[in-house]
Formats: sequence, C-alpha cells, structure tokens
Amino acid sequence: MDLDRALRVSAAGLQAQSTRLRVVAENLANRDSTGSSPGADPYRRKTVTFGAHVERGLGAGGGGVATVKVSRVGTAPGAFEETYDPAHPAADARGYVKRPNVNSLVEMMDMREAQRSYSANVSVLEVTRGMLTRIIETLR
Amino acid sequence: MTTEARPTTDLLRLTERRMAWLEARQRVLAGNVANADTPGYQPRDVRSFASVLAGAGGGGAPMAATDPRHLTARNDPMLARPDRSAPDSAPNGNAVSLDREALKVAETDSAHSLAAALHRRYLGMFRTALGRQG
Repeated sequence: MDLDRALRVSAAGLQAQSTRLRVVAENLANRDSTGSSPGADPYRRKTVTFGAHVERGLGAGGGGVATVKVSRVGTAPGAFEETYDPAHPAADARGYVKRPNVNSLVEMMDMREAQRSYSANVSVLEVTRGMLTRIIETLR
Repeated sequence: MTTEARPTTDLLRLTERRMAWLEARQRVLAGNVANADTPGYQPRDVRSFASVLAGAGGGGAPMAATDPRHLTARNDPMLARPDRSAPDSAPNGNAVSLDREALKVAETDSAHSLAAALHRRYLGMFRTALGRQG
C-alpha cells in the first residue's frame, strides 16, 4: 500500500537525519579531545554520507521510489592544527599539540541542516497520516 | 466493464483512481524529501493524472509470472520517473528543493481531501436512495 510505504520512507528519512545529528553531537563533544601520549593523533571529525536505497519490493514493485540510508560514517581527512603547549601530556618533542580538526561553525551548520530536513520529513509524515485517516473515515 | 453508462458509479471509480494516484504520488514525494541531502539524487514524480487516465484504457494485461521474484515488464503507470523540471542542483549533485516538494505535498493533500469528500458524497447519495440518513 502506497501510504504505508510513504510512512516508511519518511521514517527512514527521520532515522538518517537523527544519525547525522548524533554524529554532529559526537564531533562537538570531542572538539577538545587531544591524544593522551606525546605526539598522538587527536580526535578526527566524523562525517555521514547518505545514499539513496531503492527497495526491491516484491509483487507490486517498489515503483522506483528510493528510501534513504546512512551509507557510510567516515572520517574527515585534513591536517590537524597545532598549538604550542609544552606542558600538555600530548605535546611532541617540539612542544606542539595536535588539535582535533573539528570546526564548530561547520558542525552548527550541519546541525541546522539536519534539523531542517528532519522537520521536513515530519511534515510529510503528518500529511501522509492525514491522508490515511481520511481513507479510514470513508469507512464510516 | 459494462458499456451502459452509469454516471454515479463511474464517478465513484474515478475518485478511487484519483486517490490511488495521489497516494502513489505522496509516496514518491516522501522519497524526495527523505533524500533531500543525498548526494547525486534527482527528484522524481509520477506521470500526470490525465495521462495515467488516458493510458489506462489500452494498457494491456500485465506479464504473467510464476514466481513473485520474477522481473516483469514495468508497464505500471504509477511508476516514478525523474522530474525533468527540477531546478539546478546543489554542488553535491542533489536537485531536491524542499519548498518545491512542500508545495507538491500540499497540493496532493488538498486534492486527496477533495477526492475523499466527493467519494463520501456519492456514497451518501446511495444511502439517501436507500432511504437512510446519509
């Protein structure tokens, strides 16, 4: 049934966006997580990649509709910024400490976008539910 | 299908098909919104209701399959196809515009409301004819 599938697609969207929010939270929480031994690498920013996932529906066919899935949680490449702090436990021989490559501005942007997409999915879900309710009401 | 025209039942069937089309469209739009951040995703839409209605008469019988996993020819008129009128895409190749999709969802919702109301009215006329309060 189409409306049923529409609900499921929207739910997949919600799930993907909340995974993204979780990763953003993780990145922000680890904004200051340096290594613990001299010269060790600090926390590396994680990234989420979405992929369209076409459901191979049996029988009536998926109708070519793609749901969404988090296809990969990877790490962001890029050099670490170094700060001079000889007293730090993670300072290397020169006295420099590698800082995580997390930029809070980028994370906040990502969070906003995830939030916006999440509410868009919720709105579609509500409309679909309204349609479903209307169909049920024709039985009365 | 009877050749004798019975307007009321025809209208009932029409509203039913309209609702089925709107539901298929809602599913496609939900897929677009869910993929609003998927790199390289092109929004989809179903064929217009008018062309689905026009093509429905001579659609032909579907291909027979002895197993549900067999691939059949997709002559399903409700099949989603890429929306060619989509505006230019974001740097990651995604061409979904949330406002466009929101507009389409709102359109679908109100059209569905209309079709459902018409359906109810016609059924109410049958009830009236049967002497009950519709």
